[in-house]
Amino acid sequence: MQRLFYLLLGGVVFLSACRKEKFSSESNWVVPLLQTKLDLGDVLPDSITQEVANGELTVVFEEEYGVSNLEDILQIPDRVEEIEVSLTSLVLDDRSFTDTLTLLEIYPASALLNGQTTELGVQDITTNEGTVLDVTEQFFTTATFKEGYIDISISNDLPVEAEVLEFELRNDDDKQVIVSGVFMNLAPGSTVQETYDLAGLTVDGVLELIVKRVKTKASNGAVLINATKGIRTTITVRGLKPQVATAIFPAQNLVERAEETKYNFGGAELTQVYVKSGDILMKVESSIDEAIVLDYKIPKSFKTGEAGIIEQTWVIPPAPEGDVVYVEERFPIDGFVIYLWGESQATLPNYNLIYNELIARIKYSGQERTLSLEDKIKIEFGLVDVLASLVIGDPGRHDLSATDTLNLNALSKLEGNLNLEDARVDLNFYNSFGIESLVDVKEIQGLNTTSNKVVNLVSGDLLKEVFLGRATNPPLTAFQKEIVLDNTSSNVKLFLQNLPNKVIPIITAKVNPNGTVDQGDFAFDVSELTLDFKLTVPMHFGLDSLCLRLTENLNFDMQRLDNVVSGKLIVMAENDFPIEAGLTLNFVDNLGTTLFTKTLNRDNKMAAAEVDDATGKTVAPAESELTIALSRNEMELFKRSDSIDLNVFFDTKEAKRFKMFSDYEIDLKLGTNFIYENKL
Amino acid sequence: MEPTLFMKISFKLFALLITYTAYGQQADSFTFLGNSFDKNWRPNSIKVTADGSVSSNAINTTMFTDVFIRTEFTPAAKQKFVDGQQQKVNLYSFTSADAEYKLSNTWGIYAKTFAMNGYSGEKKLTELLFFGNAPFMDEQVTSKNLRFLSYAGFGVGATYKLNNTEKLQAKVLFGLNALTSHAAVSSAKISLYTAPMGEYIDASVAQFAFSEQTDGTIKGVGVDLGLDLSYAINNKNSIGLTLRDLNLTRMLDYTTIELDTSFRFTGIGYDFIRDTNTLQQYVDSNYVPVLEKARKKLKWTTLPSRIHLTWSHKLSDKSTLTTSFRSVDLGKYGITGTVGLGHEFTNRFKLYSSFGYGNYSGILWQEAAEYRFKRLSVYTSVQGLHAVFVPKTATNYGVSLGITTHF
Repeated sequence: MQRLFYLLLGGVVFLSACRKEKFSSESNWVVPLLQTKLDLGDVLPDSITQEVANGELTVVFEEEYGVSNLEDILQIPDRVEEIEVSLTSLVLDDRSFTDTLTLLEIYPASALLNGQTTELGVQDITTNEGTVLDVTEQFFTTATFKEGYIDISISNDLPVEAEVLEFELRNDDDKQVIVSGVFMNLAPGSTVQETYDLAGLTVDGVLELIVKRVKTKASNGAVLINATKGIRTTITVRGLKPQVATAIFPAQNLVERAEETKYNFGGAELTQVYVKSGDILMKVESSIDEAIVLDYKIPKSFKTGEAGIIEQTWVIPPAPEGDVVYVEERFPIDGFVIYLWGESQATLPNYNLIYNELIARIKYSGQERTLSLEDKIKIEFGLVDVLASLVIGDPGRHDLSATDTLNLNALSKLEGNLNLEDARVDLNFYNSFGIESLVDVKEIQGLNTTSNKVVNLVSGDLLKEVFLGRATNPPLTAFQKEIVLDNTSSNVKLFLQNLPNKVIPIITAKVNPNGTVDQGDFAFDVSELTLDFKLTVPMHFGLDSLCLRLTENLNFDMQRLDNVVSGKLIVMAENDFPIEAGLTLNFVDNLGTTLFTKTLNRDNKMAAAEVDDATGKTVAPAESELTIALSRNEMELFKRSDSIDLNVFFDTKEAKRFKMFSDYEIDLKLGTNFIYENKL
Repeated sequence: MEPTLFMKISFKLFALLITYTAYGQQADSFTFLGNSFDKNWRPNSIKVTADGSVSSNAINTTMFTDVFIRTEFTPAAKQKFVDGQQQKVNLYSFTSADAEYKLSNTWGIYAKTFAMNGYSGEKKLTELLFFGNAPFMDEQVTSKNLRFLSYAGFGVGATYKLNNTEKLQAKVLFGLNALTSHAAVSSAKISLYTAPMGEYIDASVAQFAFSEQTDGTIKGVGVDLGLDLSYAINNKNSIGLTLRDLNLTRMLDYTTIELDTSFRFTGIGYDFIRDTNTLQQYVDSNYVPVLEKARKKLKWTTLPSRIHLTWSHKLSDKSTLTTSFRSVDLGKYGITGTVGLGHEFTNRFKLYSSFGYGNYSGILWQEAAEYRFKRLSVYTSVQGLHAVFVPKTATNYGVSLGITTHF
């Protein structure tokens, strides 16, 4: 039995210790190998010869110098105004209230005579007892008046003459007398009225009306007794402007402000601004116990193609009692045009002024609030972060200067192959401002940083300032002026013989040198004052082709490629050059030995970019995707590669004349499509 | 004849043959399809088991077999996987060999070896990782809750009988584990974008973490706990709880990189499942400081624990219905529910059949048998029998062998 046990145990251990057989699974990966750019700086000297070929290439080095743009001339500053105001006025609605002192209250025994026709004797009642009148809902809870009136109107509905009627109206709470008076000889059916000034008085909503003395004459014979009628008192409040009040306020304007805000544009006097982007900022700090509605508008504004002006309404919530609320909001005004005349174009000055209106108001809320003329509201408002797409007016005079550097890296590589006799420099001045300018090209330095030698480009045409007229609009058409510097008009040959690898023009400009007559100058955000520097040099080249060469390291761990079983290379090219190009890849090991070479075949070339006939320059790079298959043997050699020599051959056999701009380049991306073996 | 019917008849003949050739034995419970090894706790007795299984919700058993015995995937099986409609791919494999020896009436010792591989990720990303990015050019492939864990090791320890009555049996295991390999990758979200023609590959990860392997043989050591509980509710019903691999492991010279960032890959295909220690050389050099900053020392880790709950109901003296629920790492690497029927054909031979479903295994079918000799019991269990008939549809299989005796 023990033998069987050990046998089974051994079997179990053997089975559990079994190792997996070798297994591999292939995966297909597409990954980048390298990305690089080739330009005329990578030209292979051997590909240029002294032989005069059938065709000719012209190398063009072109750089644009920005002398100024809109930001150099004008910046629109943030302009935020701050106002702190108390409420200029508060109003309460006119209201009325009527109360009747009946015959029954004056003469209780009349209850027995009600409806009868009988004689009524003399009544003379004196009392300090009053009737409490709660007019909180009709009037207010309490109010201290800056202005206001109360009309007391008394009508005698008794069948006898009221000989003396003395009354007093006072606050029920503190018994302060609001009004008091005496009316005499009030005939039956007649009414008298007296007006009292409420200024400086504090009136509560719960009042006490005391008819202190009522003396009536005896009737002249029998009269019809109606115990429910008597002395009818109507109290009317009107023209109420409280200093402080706790009430349900009607809708009213609390602040009304119309101002011209003056802007400082650093000497510019503008009449119109076309807003590209920007905001109206509104910051409010309120201690008012009522929702405040702010209406802000710039009446002298519009938006092309749309109705309406710059106008915005904000609602500031009520401040909690004894507290303050803060609100900050922005309102975009992108696309609006603002006139800077002020309120009227006819009134001088009529520039740099933005007329704007601000109203702070409350709406009827139906809620009881306590408002006081002491309550404050602090408002910051104005235009911020405004960028203009167009400004019109007088830009003012500006003096500008510009110094920049043009790199001519390929020039030294092309030495000896350039035809300097026919070299020329084109200076193209470009002004798309609607403003005159005077440009002074003080120097054009050619610096050879290797020898540290500087040779200036000198010409009689550069001795005087260059006047540039205004651009015209619409459509926006720039003013352009060209100065050609060749061997007849300048020392361009001497300049190039120095083999400058840097060109440094020193330029100054006077903007608006002669002032503006009609405030009609303009500047777009796209306007610029530039100098286009173009060096054109004919170049000799070999019969076969011009070649660019670059070596790139393969900067990944090649050991990882041990698991790659097959693959192909993918070339993605963006070619700026106007010439079709071939590609040869030399795979080189770490000793510099070329392991193998792959050349794109004739049908597998980088396409040429299309040339714009007007400028002679290519419009956009031509994109090509090319595939290079790798054999198993080449795959093994690829794994041992340390770097790749990239050789681009331009096919120049057609003997066409091409302009080769110095900023042309070939953007090469080399990717791989590998079958990768995952081993388990 | 249908294969299933053929199997049933063959199996009955086999059972009958075994029954007839058996000789008399005590009618106590079985060791593997019962709990007599712990219930009897007989000194100088030993139990040895070996298990191995692999399961997935999406990968078919033909592909597993390809990995085990062939050199490459069977194209039809691979295509079946690619054509599958599952949103996620879950994969779990576990192999172990355990031995327990009873030293006395209350103490025992155990030794074990184990290896686990677990993976969960959305299907498209899984396809990309395993088969490459070429089919996914100019496509954003995203996966949430990506998880990969692989480890192997061995352990030794003691077992102790806490309680042993008719009502309750309880055993505790405690010991030490040593890890001989460990690799882990996880990410709350990962997305890979391969630009057209492979110009570049952008990877974006959120809460991404992966461990970096060390050169030493022992990757970590830790404590290991286990618990067996069996409680008889009444004569017919009982419940059981088995906890395994409760552990806390101290990693030796281990680091992890934790990232929330985006990378642009510039290198050759990166096999992160197998090679988690060299990410740095595949990403743009600009990201190297980011990786350096993200590197942290990994001191402690916990390996997935396993929980097995059972409820058994005696249908008769010979037959028992068992319902069970299993989880690995509280469900992170799978939840499985099964219902099974055990039947004692004789007091020497017992057969157990179960069916169930798991989110890491798909449909489960297990057949287990135990036969007892006088001092020896042998056990075998086969999981995923349907893989024999529909290997490209079945997604799990496994085998378990056991033997026990006393000296």
